[in-house]
Amino acid sequence: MKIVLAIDSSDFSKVAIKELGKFPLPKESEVCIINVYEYRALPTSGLHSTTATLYKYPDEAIKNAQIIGDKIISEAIKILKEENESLNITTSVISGLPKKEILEKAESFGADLIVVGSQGQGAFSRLLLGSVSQYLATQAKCSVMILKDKDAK
Amino acid sequence: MKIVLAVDGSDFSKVAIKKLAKFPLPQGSEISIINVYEHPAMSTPELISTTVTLDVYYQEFIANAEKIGKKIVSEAGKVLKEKNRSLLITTNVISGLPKREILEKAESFDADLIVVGSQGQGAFSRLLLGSVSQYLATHAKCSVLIVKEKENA
Repeated sequence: MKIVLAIDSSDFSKVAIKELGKFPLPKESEVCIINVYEYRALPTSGLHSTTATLYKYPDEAIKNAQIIGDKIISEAIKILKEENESLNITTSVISGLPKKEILEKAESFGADLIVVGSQGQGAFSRLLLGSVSQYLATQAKCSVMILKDKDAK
Repeated sequence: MKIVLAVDGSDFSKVAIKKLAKFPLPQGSEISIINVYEHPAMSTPELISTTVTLDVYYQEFIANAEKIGKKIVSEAGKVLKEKNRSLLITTNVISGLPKREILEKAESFDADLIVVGSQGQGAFSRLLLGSVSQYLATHAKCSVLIVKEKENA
């Protein structure tokens, strides 16, 4: 079974990672863990500047996002492996619009299943009860699992 | 592991049953298979009548819905049992609003996971790309698996 696990640094993602580790997956399942960060300059591309300071800002932001993404993912690998040794894990940190990148990854990876937490990081998402999860639930071509810990309160 | 599998007679539900059977569920997992039908009077309460004819109509409707529902859930149970003999399966046919009854069942059964197809039977649901799945994805306290057959697979 091929699975895309999309995570950010939220507690909801941590629950999803742990629950996926405990989930009864077929042996040798492949899990592709992705973290998508939004490039802040995206919505205001007209504001791009060639002055040294501003120019440097997006570079640094991207670098930091990559570092944070790598860290989120390496922690996820650790948890998954602890729970289920047989998993084959690949990873990637991607820049873009989360819901779109998750769907694209699922297609290119040939995923049977997309796994996400119930809510993401964005304050706006939280208001909408997980706009990404909801978008995936309706738009993905493969199965989607929203993992929650029912005993957590 | 405790799972609520909600099915109707749609092909989407058949896919959900088939895919759920592919997970190596732990020995002795409990699966509650439910089919929810809407009482015709619920959508048109003003039509409730005490005349014999309408009353007979409702009685027949309910009898038929129960009969069809029982067939759907028992067939689902058979498919799952074939793959995994250790599963403890219970079945119920319930009258009510599908999304609400599924959530209530999940709570009373103390389910870890709700499994549904990506779209149900209702024409209206189909328009909304599976309003029940979407509702569950945002409102359930436990994990939700929305099953789809991957295209070209």
